This record gives sequence, structure tokens and C-alpha cells, in this order.
Amino acid sequence: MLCDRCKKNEATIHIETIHNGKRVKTNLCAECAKHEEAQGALAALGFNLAEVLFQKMTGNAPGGAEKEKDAPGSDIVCPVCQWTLEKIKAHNGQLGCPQCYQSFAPLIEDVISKVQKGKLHVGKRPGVIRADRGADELKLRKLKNLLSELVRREEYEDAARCRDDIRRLEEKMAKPAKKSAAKPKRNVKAKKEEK
Amino acid sequence: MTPEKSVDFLLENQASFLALADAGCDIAVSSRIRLARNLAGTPFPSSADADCRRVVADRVVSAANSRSFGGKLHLFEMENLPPLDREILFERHLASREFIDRPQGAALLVREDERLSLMINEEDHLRLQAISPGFCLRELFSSASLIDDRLAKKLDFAFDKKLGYLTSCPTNVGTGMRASVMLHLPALTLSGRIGATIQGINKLNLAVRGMNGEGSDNRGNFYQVSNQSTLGESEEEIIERFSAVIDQLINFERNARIQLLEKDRYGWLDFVGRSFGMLRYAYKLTGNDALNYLSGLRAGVDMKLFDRLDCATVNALWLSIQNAHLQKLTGHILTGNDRDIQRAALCREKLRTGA
Repeated sequence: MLCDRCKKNEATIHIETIHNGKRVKTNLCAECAKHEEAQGALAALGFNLAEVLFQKMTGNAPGGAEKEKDAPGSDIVCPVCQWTLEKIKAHNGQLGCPQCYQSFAPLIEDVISKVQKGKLHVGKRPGVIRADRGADELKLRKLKNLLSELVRREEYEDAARCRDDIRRLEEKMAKPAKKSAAKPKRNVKAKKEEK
Repeated sequence: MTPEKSVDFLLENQASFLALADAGCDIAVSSRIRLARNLAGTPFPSSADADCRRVVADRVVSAANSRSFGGKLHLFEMENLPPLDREILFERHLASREFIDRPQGAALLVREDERLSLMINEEDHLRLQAISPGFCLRELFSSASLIDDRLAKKLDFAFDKKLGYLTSCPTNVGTGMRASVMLHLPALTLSGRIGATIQGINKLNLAVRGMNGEGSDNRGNFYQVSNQSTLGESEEEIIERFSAVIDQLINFERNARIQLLEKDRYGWLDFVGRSFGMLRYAYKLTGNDALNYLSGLRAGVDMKLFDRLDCATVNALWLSIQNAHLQKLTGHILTGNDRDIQRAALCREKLRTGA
């Protein structure tokens, strides 16, 4: 099947949308899909964003094999699970293990900045009592509202102080996490052998 | 915990997300909160071999018990269940397609009332789900969060202080929370406004999918709306923002129904009546047709157009016409044509008492 847009390449991506209650099918080649994605169209269609973004990073366009070699991150191998960017791509943007977040940090940061609303986790944490977090969260929200108000009123000195307060509070909220993925933990395979 | 050999005993009860049929479940059919968690220092299920997946399943199963889930727990091991039984779990919204298609080490814990369940070795090691009829995300999050806290005491979750809960896919990192609501939007669909509505929802960073989640279409005018972003906002903030959108969508649909009744009264009534007629008298019904007619029937029940038909009957039919449930009910493995014949027979039978 040929791509609906360029009518030249083989269509590999098939999209179904609903227009005025009627189902519309669109078939695109990788190149045109990338163009559509640039316009935010794929995001709007509930596409697997991670997959698309990881594809984009290595320039996985038709005939892009040369580009792929030089693409950032294409030589990284995760020391724990031995996964490469190729593998991540082949698994629809899924990573191999928690350590991959560090192994592929710059690439993942890029994906996160495109799909996520923020960069810092502000939700619940393992082993932290919810009541404490609730109070901090409320305080944080109030400070954020105050900051936008100060910026609106162009009171920049106060705004800078408020911004620092927010930063300190966010750091404090991130701190008491007992568990971090950075440290190597019990290995499942090792445990299995014990058995 | 001893694994169940069959899912048959589940069929005695209505699936949790359809169990209650009172006011408030008309447009928002059901709500769901799902938390993704992974074990620290352990390969994610997609990169783990079958043995490693089984070890993870054992660890998680031994950490969970009836007390921590607040009710009797059933364990299903996908490897030891026949495909039809696995399909039943999918149709009851207890398991995803991906989960039942990769059975090695895949285990499912289900609380007796099916409102709480835990998929082990889906895309992430743990996918904890709280589901119920109607629109009640805050309550669902509290109950899921409580189980999550109890599990965290026994399991070491992969967590990073900046990125939050580390998940197999970076689209879930942070809270690892996906909130979703299944909406029945026949009036917005029939009046041709659903396209613009979906575009609007997408602009708010929310995803719209068919009733069976990722990759499924909008069969029977049912849509699943869920949050896209999981990092940068707390669970409460995500739910607050998301709920405000759902509230508006419910109002849009309500207004669209009123407008249809005013502007195209006979078109709307015809949709309801024709749907009833087809289900009551047809001798062959495909799954898609049946769902579309059930959408009309449901709309009629919502508007109290039927005297003797209630939402519970529609919900019961809704579940039992699906392929696996239909085959379990009839006790035979059915192929396409036979399935359509049995499906129509079931609908005729259930609606015989009149409306």
C-alpha cells in the first residue's frame, strides 16, 4: 500500500481517526509520518509517543542507515541489561531495566521533555507518609501561584526570592526518598541461584 | 497462594466495572486508576527471560495477601490458563491484550469483587488497578495508593528522587499513574461533533482511545479518556485537572442529547428504537453491530424510554455478547458465523420480556 501523502513510498504507519462521526483511515510512510508528527498530529492521535521519539533520535528514515551510525546514543550499551538504542526502538520505546534511565540519560531527558508536563517528580514516594507530603504540596502550590502573581505585577525581586523558596522546597520534597534506582540492588538471577 | 485452574467462577458475578447500575453511571460508564511499579535492580519484563519473569512473579505474589488487599484474593497464572479463560480476563478489564499474549511468568491477582487487581509482568513488573462503575477517580486512587503503600513495605520499588517511579516506558515515569474514564458518547458521535471534541481533549494532553484501550476503535460509541503526562504533577493534581475535563465532557454529551431531542427528535428516537428492534428480533449479530445497538439501547434506558428495561440488563448483555463470554456461556468453541447466531439468540432471549 502506498503512502497517502507522498504516493511514492510504501505506507508503514496506519492511522484511524474519527471525523464528524465517520471513521477515516490514513496510511503514511515513515518519512511523511515524521512530517505529520512535527505538526503534533501523531501526538494528537494518541500515538505511542516514546516509540516515535526514539525513532526520530536515530534518524530512522528510509535510507538513513548512515545517519544511524553517527546518531547520538547509538553506541550506548546499558551495563546492567545490555540493551542498546536499537533494542529500545524495537520494543516500542520500552527500556530494558531501571538502570537504563541513567545509561541513556540524555536521550531519555529529551523524550521526557517532549512527552511529560514537567521534569521533576512531585507525587507520592515509597515509604513516605502521605500527610507530610500533602502539606508540602499545598505550600508548593501556593508559592507557585504567588510567583505567577508577582511576575504579572512585575515585582521581580520578590519573584526571585519566591522562585528560590520554590526551589528549596522542591529539593526538600525530593530528599527523603529512601530508595534510589542509582544503587545496584539485589539481582534476581543471583537470588534464583540461591534457591 | 494456590493458582486458580479456571476463571469460570468469575462468570457468576457481573464484572466489577459494570456491577452497579444506578444514577451517575449513564455517561461515565466506569473509572480506573492504574499504578505502574517495578522492582529495583531487576530487568523490566520486556528484557527479562521467562525464568527471571517467574522469579519476579513469585516475589510479588508472596508480598501480596488477602489482608493487604482488604478481601479474598485469587491468583491466575497465564501459563496455566487456557486461551479462552485468558480472553475472559481481558473482556472483564482485568488484563490487557499485551499481558495475556505473553504468558511466561505473567500472573494476575484479583480481589474477589474484581475492583482491585494486580497484573504482574505486563509492561512493568506491577500494574495495580482499581476500577469501579461511574466516575470516581479520587476514591479509586486512595484505595490503589493504600495497597501500593502496603506492597512498598515488602517490595523494593525502582524509584529515583528526580524522576519518581521508574517504569519500562518513559511515558509512564514519575507517578506511574494512568487515570481513565470510559464514556458513552452516542449523541456527540451521532451529531458529528465527536471529532472536534477529541481534538480538543488531545490538546489538553489527554488521550482518547476505544473501549479496549490502546489500539482499539470506538465500538459502540464508547471512548476511553486518560491522562498522557505522568511527571511534573502530583497524583492529586493530575486527577483534579483530568476530572474537570471529564465533567465538561459529560455536560457536552448531556447537552448534545437534549439538542438532538429538540432538533432531530425522530432521528434520535429512531436510533434507540431501531437498536432495540435489531437486538430483539435479529437472528445474526456481529460483535460490532451488537455493541452499536447496545449503545442505542443504553441511550434509551438513560432517557427512561423503556418501562421494563434497566441499565443492569443492558450491562449484563454488554459483557455476555463479547466473544469469550459468549463461548463460555454456550459451552462451545464457536467460529464467526455460529458466534453471530448465538449472540443474536442471547439478545433475543434477554429482551423477550419486552420493554
